Amino acid sequence: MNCKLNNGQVAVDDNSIMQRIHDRNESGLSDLIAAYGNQVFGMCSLIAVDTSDAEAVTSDVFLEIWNRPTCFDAQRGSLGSFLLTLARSRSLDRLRARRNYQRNLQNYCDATACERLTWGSSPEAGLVETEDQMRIREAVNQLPEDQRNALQLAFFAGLTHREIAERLSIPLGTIKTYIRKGLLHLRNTLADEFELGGCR
Amino acid sequence: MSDEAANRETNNNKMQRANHPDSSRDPISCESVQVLLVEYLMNELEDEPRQRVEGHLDDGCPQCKQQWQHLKTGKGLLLRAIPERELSQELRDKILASAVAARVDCGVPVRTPQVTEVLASGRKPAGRRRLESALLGLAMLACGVMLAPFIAGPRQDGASKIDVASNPPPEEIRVQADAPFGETPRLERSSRRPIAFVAGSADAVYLSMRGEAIFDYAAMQVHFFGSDFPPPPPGKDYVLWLQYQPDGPTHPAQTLQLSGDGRCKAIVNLAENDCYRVFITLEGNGGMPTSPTGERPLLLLQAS
Repeated sequence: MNCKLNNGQVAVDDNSIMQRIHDRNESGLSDLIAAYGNQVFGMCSLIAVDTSDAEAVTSDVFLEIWNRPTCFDAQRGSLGSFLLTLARSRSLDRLRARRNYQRNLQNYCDATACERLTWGSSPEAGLVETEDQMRIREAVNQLPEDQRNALQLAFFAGLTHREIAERLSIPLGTIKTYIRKGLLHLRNTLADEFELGGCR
Repeated sequence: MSDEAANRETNNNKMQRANHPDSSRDPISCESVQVLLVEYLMNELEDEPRQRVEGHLDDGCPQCKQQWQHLKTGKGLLLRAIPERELSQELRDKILASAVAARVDCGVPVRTPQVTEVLASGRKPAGRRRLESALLGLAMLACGVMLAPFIAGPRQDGASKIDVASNPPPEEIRVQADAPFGETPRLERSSRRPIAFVAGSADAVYLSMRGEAIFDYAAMQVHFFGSDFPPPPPGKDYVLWLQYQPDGPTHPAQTLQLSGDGRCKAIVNLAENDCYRVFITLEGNGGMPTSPTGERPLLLLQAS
């Protein structure tokens, strides 16, 4: 099944891409990068401290799936979600490995409403936002501030729930509630608009 | 916010109960699962509670599955909201070059994903052929491959089933592994010497394997002998395939069982009296595939 990308382009069938990667056919990797490279690089750029790190992690992500294609299980989710989750995870690993991580983290948490996150287009930084992304960002920005901060700290600063609770001096159970409510709110707000349950 | 405060203690107690080791013996409740789903979503659960959550979801509880789906969708939306950033052509090329240059194939370092079949000097005329031994080798790989052919032994008319142990190929061709990928390796005759198939190039050797196939058309069998095979990666087996015609289908013949020192052997019945080649691939274990599913051939042995 071909899927429609955020930018309106029709993507090559994910199954075909993965089959060719399994077959060690370079065209599969090439198509994978064409379909998801910008998304993965965007994710890495958001978390990494600089472009060099973002490029290194992006490269690692694609090489990881090339070398171990069995790590993707189509039964557990879409290829796009898998790659973004992998990109986020590897970016956070690299961020944590930096010696000045704790200091940067403190600065990050001190910033009001996580200003560091670039929610929106930033041509000078090479970030391009599609209409869909703009709509999702609007929905995120409509979330109560506590929920939004908890989501951002959990997903893009790499803090565990317990770490968020300690830094924000809020009970752990409340943090989990914020995150759960935030995700469900997001889903409910956009369900009809995005025909959720589709290919991506 | 006041609601949150009122529920704080309750939520914490629920989570503590759900994570308590003693509770692993009891069926987990929907209430406990739903408390844990957010941590499960973020991969923050330890093994025991994670397994309990997965078990509950696998059991098909519709309410919890729906909640799980909704949370996953919310997470997907959040990730999707990240602005894209144009990946430069230079970096794309670099990634592809890295994949080709240093691919790790299921634990076996190999090179380039391009299969090059070198070989053989052409097939024998059609008809019943009797090769006491025919071998062509190739060493391949590295993701790439290298192939090497060799042939051994004069034909023996009227050959019956061959006792290879007492009748080794009388003549062999050694393949020198100094050819760049994609080029025909230089051949060098050496009599009664081991036949080494080395996959790699002059500056990097990645894998070496040996093998020979003896086609016994009188007995309608092919005997395959291999050595220096690296252990297959977990979950994989080496599978021997037959191909009767150059453009014909491939037929799974046998899963190769390695001895402790990397040797293997197989005797396979032939369905036709003219076999084009045998080759080996890595396949997932647990059942014989009907066609090669993904791993490139590791070793090609072709009758000439």
